[in-house]
Amino acid sequence: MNFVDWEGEYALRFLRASLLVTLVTLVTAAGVYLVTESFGGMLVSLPEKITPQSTCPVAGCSASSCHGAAPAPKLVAGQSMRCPKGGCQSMSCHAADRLISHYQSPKDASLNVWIIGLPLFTLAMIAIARYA
Amino acid sequence: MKIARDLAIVTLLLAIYVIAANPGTTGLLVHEWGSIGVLLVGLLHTILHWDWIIDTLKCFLGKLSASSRSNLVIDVALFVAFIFVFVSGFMVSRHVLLALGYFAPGYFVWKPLHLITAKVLLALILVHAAMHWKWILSALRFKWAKPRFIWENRVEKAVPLSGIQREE
Repeated sequence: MNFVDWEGEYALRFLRASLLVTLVTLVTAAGVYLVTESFGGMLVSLPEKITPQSTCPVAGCSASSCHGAAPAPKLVAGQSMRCPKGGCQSMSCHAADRLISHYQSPKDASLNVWIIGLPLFTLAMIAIARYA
Repeated sequence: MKIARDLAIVTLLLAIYVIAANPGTTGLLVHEWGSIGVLLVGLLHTILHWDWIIDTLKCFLGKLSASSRSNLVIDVALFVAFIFVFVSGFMVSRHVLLALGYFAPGYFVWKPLHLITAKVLLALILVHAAMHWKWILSALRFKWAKPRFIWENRVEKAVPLSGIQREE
């Protein structure tokens, strides 16, 4: 598609392509959601508006003093926290490290750095060997 | 002009992707908002090649070269993988959803899906780049090629010697 001559037909083709790509993207995104919902079951639902009564989307906790995405605090008397993965409310959690470490945080050493780094390093070597 | 435009868009796309795809290095805020940038530039990249997609789809079951057929299959897989990564990332997002005043349940379903599909996406991007390697090299050569001139019969008229014509 050549938009050098930004007139009439080209502008129309660009608009038509934009609408179709947007439509395909939205339909695919809806498909992704439906497929995930069919596998995720009750755990998965559409985004909900945050209200004062909302429970924590990760931990299911409704304590008024929210710890955000930081490590979960020690519970005080009268409070309970449901395990977001197992639905368990036992105080002796067998996967406490999951809660007291962190969630919604990137891993310190992302694998992507290594996967991207290797090809980039190779390309740089080829470029240096060829053009330097 | 078309090659320069495509090269600029691809370079921008790759640059934003490299920054956004490394949340461990650049942080979640950059990761989430940068991913929206990747989506927008990626969609622009798709729009600009929409004619090729439609033409190739029309011929897909008929007479079509193996390279075009495999290109289309990889591109469709790349698109679907990207939508998987984007939707799952949106559902676990900490900054974008919050900025909109929303939260999404199902963190422990979306998060593993996001991690797995992100790796698949990265692999497909590398395959996509490898399949267009010749175009990338020729586009880079075109971009940096300096036209050579000779003076012809004292007439101040430049005649390009090489076959490369730079479009302004």
